[in-house]
Amino acid sequence: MDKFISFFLRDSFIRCVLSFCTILCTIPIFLMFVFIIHQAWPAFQHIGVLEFLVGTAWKPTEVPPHFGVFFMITGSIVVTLIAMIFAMAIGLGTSIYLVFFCKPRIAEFINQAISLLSSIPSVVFGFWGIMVVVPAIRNIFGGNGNSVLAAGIVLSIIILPTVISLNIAALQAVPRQYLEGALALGSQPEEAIFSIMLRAAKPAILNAFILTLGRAIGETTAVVLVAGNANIFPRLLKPVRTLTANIALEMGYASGLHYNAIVASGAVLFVIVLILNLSAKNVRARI
Amino acid sequence: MPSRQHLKRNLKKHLFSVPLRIAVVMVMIIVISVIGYIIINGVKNLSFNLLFGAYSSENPSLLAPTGVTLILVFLVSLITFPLGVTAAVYQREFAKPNSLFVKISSTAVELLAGFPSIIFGLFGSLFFGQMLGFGYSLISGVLTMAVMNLPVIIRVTEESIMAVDNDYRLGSLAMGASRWYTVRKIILPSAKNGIMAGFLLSIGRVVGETAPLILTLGTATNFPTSLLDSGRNLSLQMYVLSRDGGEKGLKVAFASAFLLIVIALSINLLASLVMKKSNVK
Repeated sequence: MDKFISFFLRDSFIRCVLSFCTILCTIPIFLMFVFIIHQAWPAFQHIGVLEFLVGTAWKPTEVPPHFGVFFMITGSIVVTLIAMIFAMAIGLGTSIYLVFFCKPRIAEFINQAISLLSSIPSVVFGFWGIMVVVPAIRNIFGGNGNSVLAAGIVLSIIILPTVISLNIAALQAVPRQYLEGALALGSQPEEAIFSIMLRAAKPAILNAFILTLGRAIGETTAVVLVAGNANIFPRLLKPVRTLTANIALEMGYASGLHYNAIVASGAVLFVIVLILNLSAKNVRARI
Repeated sequence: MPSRQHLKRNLKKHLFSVPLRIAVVMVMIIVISVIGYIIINGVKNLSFNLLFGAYSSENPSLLAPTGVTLILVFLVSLITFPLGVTAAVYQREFAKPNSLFVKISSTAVELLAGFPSIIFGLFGSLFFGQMLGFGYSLISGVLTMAVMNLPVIIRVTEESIMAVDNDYRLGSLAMGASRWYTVRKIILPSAKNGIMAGFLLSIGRVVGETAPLILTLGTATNFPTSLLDSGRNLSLQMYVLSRDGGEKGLKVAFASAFLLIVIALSINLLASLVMKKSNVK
């Protein structure tokens, strides 16, 4: 009996069990590739890759149906870029302040507040956007408020904690000696920070930027709730439909070619995020 | 009298530091306005009947969505925690560091951790919903969230394992202990708190995630009685109500937002407590 038990505690046996678990964890990734490509294939075949990517009309129920995601791709990109501009401006400023200018106790407090923000689910931000941001835009600029701007603002708040924590890490990774050296040579702290520390942290900040971009472009729920979801060319105060919104809104009732086209729009998103993540990896390798 | 140069320097100093202060103040305003708004309006719209009453169109009780949220968290962790930890232990402690298998699986984990949640939803609906025939059900939701959560758990576990002092490992092995014994008695106990904290943070994500569940769990209003039933958790409830809930729906959405924030924040608090404990040690 002892021998029997000790067999199961032997390294070779444990190794088998553990490697089996690892394989089990890796399988879904390959399944994901296979399934998405397999289901998107008919769409690309029937519609044509180019037609699908640069087509502007998305009319799945018309005869004959039109499937073009050009406005959605541009919509996703525009919303994400606006969000990144807001989030980078506020986030980079905050992280510089927290790392270089702030007393540790205040920094601790602000960090707590930011981690509070990061634990809030994105659907709550979407709801807050509907109740606060959309009416505000409606009152200030007119229109119905569901717009690129609303989506950009809500999205920028969602990614703000990520931007701040990645930027703090980037700034803290720069050797403190650079700062001390510059100060010893007689430069003002502000000068030293902006012309030396920031420059040294630039690749890491770029990496943070790309990583957050990848996360922002995939955000769905909050954007669906405030963006208005009309398939038109994205303009700041007009509604917009993103790739993610397209999937979330129509997957439920789509069938046939429409279904495949939805999966294909997912495949486009998949490729965009893959490119972003791989290029972030490239930037990281150069740091 | 201050010299011209001195004035210029002073001006420059403020030119740099004032925007930074403005940024920080804006962050604090955002935090307070979002959380304050939800909490104030949430508490206002909360009532005993809404929380614990039976479901009807008059009283869209939050009992079922809260229950589904908790069940989802429980089932997802039941799957991901053991699998994720064992996979991480294998990759860090058992496999040869540069073998092809480890390279493939760690690249896959890294890529997967950065993917948008809606892609997981798409996959879940294609694979679990259509291919395996689960349709909109609790089980497709759970499995989809598990696939999404696994890479996160693997990563945090790997990080905690790597943070364990290598001397412990070598010392144990030098005393003649087997790998498995070392992992059980030395590595896992010292990495325990880090793993728990990471696990709790990833669970917080399960509580709030919506996009993949729209495509896999569905939005049925009653409590699922089997794994094959559809249901809705709190975040789906919010999503549905804020899209087409009307005046009354908004009230319920406020209450659900409040509950959701309370659950998410308490999980986060727990995680940071566990984290602190690991630092003290």
